[in-house]
Amino acid sequence: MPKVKPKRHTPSIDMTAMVDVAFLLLTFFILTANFRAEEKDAVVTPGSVSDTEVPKSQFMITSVEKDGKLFVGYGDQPTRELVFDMILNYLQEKDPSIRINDIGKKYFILQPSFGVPLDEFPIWLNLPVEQMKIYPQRGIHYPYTERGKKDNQLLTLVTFNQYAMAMQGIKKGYKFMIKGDGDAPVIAIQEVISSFQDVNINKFYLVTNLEEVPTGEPGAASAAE
Amino acid sequence: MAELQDQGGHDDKKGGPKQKKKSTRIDMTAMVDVAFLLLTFFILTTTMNSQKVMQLNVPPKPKDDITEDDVKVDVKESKMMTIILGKNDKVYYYFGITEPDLLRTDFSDNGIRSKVKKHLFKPGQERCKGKETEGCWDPIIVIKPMEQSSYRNLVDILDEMTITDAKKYALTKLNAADSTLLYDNNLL
Repeated sequence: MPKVKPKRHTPSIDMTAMVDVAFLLLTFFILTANFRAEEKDAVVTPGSVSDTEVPKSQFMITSVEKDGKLFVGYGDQPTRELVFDMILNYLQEKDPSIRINDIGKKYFILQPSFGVPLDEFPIWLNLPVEQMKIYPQRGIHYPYTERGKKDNQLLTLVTFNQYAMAMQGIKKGYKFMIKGDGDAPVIAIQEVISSFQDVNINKFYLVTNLEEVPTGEPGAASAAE
Repeated sequence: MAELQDQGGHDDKKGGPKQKKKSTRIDMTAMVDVAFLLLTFFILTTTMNSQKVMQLNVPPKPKDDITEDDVKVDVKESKMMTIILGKNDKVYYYFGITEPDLLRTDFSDNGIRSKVKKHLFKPGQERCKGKETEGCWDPIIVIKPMEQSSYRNLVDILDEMTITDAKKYALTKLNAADSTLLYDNNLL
């Protein structure tokens, strides 16, 4: 008699539950992730114990790089559009022949921040899109830089932002963020603050990386609030 | 491995031309692989972003026709502690205003934090709460960064103010007296 061979089964695992869990987590992480917009500046922010969330919209951000190079960004597209029109107006007052095409305007409105001096706008934004992306962002002029002493473009941009706020009827809740590189000189940040103070803005939000409060310190409770 | 298993079709001989029954088992390995790959990606990218903001209020700029002397407020000298941020992460500090004695420290654990705490919490003296200023200890800290100091130092010292729970502090620029003091100590 031939021996009875045990039937061989391929070992199979029911993966349905695992797939369910995996996709549930995946969906959760996709939905909660905020995609950070591509930023042109390379800023390494210092750490602090403050744990206030970064505002999502209604803000103006000024980034200061290690060498003091300045970038400015507006949190929402309507403000960017209004500011763009004001910049164009401002440039045309100096030279009425200046034109910026619609592609350039659209490109500008999509930028979270920019570091091109205002006087280079017609050159920058009339280029083909591929070249706009790689245009050298040499930093906006402000009193820390040599040219900014005569031509404080940061003050101009802050003023435009104030007009844009007024035009949109925003009175409260607009936030002014300063994102400085840890190695940036203090004087550069002070010049930025000083430009804001010229239009009577005295409250700022400094962008920092989260650090833990040392335990047992007096401020531990108030910092955690 | 999960496989498509052909379990139907054994009773073909008995009945007529019945349709083959197939179990609806699908090999999900690849799908699981992709799901976990994406999952890992999203977990890693979301935890990386931990940027926060820190609030900073500065006093309004004095108008042009008002000089520094006009806005001076009377403050007891003993309440005052002035911290000067120097280059290369150095910290200098002094107490009072007249004939200050410039001391040196740094950002280490036993550095400026312990000095600030010593000034804030005097033994046997109650700290002022709310708006009262009489009969209690009401320390004031003034922060003056030198031009050569880095922004990180500024954030660090503001952080120390939060950590030590210093309620009254101000950020200002160096004045002529401070510059002289630094010059006398060969620190300028």
